[in-house]
Amino acid sequence: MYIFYSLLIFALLGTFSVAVEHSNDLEVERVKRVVVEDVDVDFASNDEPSPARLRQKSPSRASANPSTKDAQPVPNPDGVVPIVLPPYHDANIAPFDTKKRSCLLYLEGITILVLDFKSIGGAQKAYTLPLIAANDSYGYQDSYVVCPPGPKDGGNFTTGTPFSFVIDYRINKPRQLVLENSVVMTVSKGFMLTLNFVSNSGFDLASAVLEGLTIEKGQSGFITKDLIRSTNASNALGTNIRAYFGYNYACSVTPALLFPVKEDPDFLVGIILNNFQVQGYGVDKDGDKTIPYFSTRTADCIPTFNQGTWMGIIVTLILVSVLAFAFLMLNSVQTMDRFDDPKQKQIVINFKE
Amino acid sequence: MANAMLYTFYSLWGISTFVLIGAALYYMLTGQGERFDIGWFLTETSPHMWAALGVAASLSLSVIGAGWGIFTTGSSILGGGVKAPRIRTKNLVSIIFCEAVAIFGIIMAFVFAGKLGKFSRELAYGHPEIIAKNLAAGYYIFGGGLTVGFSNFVCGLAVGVVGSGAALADAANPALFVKILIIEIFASAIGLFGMIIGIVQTNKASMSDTL
Repeated sequence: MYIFYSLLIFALLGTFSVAVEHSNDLEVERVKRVVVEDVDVDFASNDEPSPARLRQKSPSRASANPSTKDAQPVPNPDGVVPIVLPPYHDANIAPFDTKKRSCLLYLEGITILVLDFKSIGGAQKAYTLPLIAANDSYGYQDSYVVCPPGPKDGGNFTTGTPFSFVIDYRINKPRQLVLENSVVMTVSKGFMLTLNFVSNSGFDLASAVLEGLTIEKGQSGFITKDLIRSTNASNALGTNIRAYFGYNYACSVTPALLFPVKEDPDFLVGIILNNFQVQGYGVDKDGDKTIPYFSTRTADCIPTFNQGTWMGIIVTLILVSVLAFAFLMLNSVQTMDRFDDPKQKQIVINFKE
Repeated sequence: MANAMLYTFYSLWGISTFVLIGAALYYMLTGQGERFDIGWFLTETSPHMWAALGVAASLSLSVIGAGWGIFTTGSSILGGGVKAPRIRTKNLVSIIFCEAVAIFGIIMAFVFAGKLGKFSRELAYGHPEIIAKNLAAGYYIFGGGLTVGFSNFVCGLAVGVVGSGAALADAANPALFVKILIIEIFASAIGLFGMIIGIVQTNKASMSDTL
């Protein structure tokens, strides 16, 4: 009886864990998604950022300084298209050709973070300004996406193969962060963010280059002068934007990529990617009338068993075992049957109404 | 009674083994073996959870032991007292020994709960030594709680069984009671051992946001 119950629990737990792991299989979109509305900052696991530029060890940087002269803005037919690189939804701009490349990047929004450096360790002051990609536009030209060809076309995604994306973000309407009726900061000009990945036993983000980000100061006095950043990220490896071999990386809020500048050490500017998914190799489509899709194996930045899950499992098991113990103790109460004698005459009790 | 404990521990062991081995094998066989990371688990889970589990273990296990002991002794005193009423008052000493076990548990729970403190990971971001201190405090209190709890649990059981024997022997022959009481004192010392070692374990535990 108890063996049956425990087997049932084993079977249920097993089915549940397998189902959750494979819940991505039927959908193209990722399942774990969180709306970004708070001003919390998720820091990468790096020590204090050094103002000096970090020397990169990646074998080749695909496009260190992409020129923008041929970059066309990608038209948004429905007005709600996120950043897709290469923009396969428009075959005129980017026809799908696995002989050339088989990678894909999907990004729904960027959040700009400004952190007061001196306030770290005490009452930290940081502000975030979300930019939702559907309200802006992005440019694309062919050199913006460099990745190896598809698996069937001789592409070789072995150790050391780089792939990179350039996000040419163009802001249509200036975006302001207003708190308590005063403007904290404004972003009105677009910028270019280059993400360079390299593959090893999986792939990881080797470096990121930001160009042209201008944050204008507002009235509230948090920023005293305009911040302009055109530099390399100092913590690209520390953000852990990486995935196993054959997996793609997906995250609803990535850790912030920080871009420190030696001349201006007071404020740290960071870029947070929202609802982001990237795959370097193996993107394919099912025939002519469909669009290319990410493969089903996704490494999310928040794993299935994260800290909270494990803590919940431990405490639940302890409490359930206490309950089981108590129940079994109560069940084991037995009445004394030493003096019961089935052959003796039954006791008859008369009820007088 | 023994069945209850046996079934509980069997099923708890079975479920946790299944979860652990299932998760480990799934991660390893799908190529994401690095996700099964025990070091990450020990450093990322909250030290408050471990400390609170220690406090809970210290109090609840001591009380289980005390209650079980009183139940064993009490039923023997009641049964023996029917035919030999003189044993009733003298054998309350056994009940008091069992109760002392519960008091040990609650005192240690107070001491451990007093060592809990505020700790937020974001403020300790660049200072691994603060995180290390708080993690250590969590584990100290967890270990201390288990020490106190389990030794009091078994002490209560032992004192209960011996006290029950003492009551029935006293009912048969009054000269035996004092000799059996000596055995009960030895059994009670076990609970004291647990309490002392619990204090020693948690001496250095302190949770705070600063060094």
